[in-house]
Amino acid sequence: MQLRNIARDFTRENRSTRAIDDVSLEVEEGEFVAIVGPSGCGKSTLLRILQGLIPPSAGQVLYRKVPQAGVNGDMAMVFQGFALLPWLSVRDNVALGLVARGPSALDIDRTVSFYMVKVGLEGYEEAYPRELSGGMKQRVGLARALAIEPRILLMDEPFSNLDALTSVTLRDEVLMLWKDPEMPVRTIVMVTHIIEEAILMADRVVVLSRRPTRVVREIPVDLPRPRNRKHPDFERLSDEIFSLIS
Amino acid sequence: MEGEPEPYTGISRIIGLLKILQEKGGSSDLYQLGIDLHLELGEELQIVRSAESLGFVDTPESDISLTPMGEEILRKDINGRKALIRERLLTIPIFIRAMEWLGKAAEESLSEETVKSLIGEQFPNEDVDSAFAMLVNWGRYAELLGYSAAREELYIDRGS
Repeated sequence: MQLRNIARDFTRENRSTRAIDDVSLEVEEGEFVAIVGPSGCGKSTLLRILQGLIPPSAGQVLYRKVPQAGVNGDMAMVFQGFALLPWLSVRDNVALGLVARGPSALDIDRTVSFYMVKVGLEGYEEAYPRELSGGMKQRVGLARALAIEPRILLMDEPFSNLDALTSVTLRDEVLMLWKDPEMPVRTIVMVTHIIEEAILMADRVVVLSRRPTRVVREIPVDLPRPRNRKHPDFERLSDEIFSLIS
Repeated sequence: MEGEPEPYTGISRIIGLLKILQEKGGSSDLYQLGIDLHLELGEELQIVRSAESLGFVDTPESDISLTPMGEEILRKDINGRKALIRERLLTIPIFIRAMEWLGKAAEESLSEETVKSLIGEQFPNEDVDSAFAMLVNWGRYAELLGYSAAREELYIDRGS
């Protein structure tokens, strides 16, 4: 997957502003890439351009070396605010993306059950979002994204709406799912403003600048997994990224 | 912030606490842990007591340390964690009693109102609403209990 010289302009009161400028990025299959940058730098916009939800103003998105047209069906998104439908049960929320793709009811049922088990939601089938903690809501968001069996999972600040302890657990579980051979997802691109989260999870951290957004640096994270914040190189990487952002 | 405040401690927060303790080498000073996690004392104690009730931590004096079972749950995958929590819940008095009440009921199901009055009668020191919320949430996580909001009924989860 490749972003080539991507730009994105926004128009307000007849004035065009360049929000993202000349961003190029390559993501290999099997990689976990974290994109970090200051608030409002367009990280989430970049993720939507990657998925084909928003067209770039300039540049090209290539998927498997072919220019991408429209929304990429091999990608699914996990949202910061969970994006659950409150009037649907957990099971129906997980099935949502699948139903739109039109498989048989039996296939939907089988797939939904499989991913609910995988993310630990078995037992919550008939619960409604209002009955769930934030952590459980995000598990539903994760199961819904996984149920369409994407090859690439895009995560937009997935832990930002959770308390610190719940975030620790969910990060751990996302990494377990990424390494699970039964999961079709091989590649993850995550946007976050939390430097520590990026280093804890990703193989590579892409640091973005303030607007107009550019890639400041790409930093490989070679620390052994599971990662520990007390590793001497953790703080060094953290400081390096912080100095690039601030 | 989603997920808080809640009248019970979510399982994800308990496992998060265990992970943090593991990073600290398996133990910590309780006061320092609260500072590190930016938790108010009451909130910290609620989480710690919940973890202790499940047998995952010990709290000798003013310290907190992982038990062997606390270390074990961190080595397990997502569903292995659920299975271990299920085992642990079956050792906690309120879960033992709830399973008995439901086991004797028609279709292994009781109304929320009935369960709350039984909690009030048999666990007079518990806050009834918090205890019920814990039964529903921990019970669902462990696939031990189910709850239908539409029918306002708690039931034994036999799978489907």
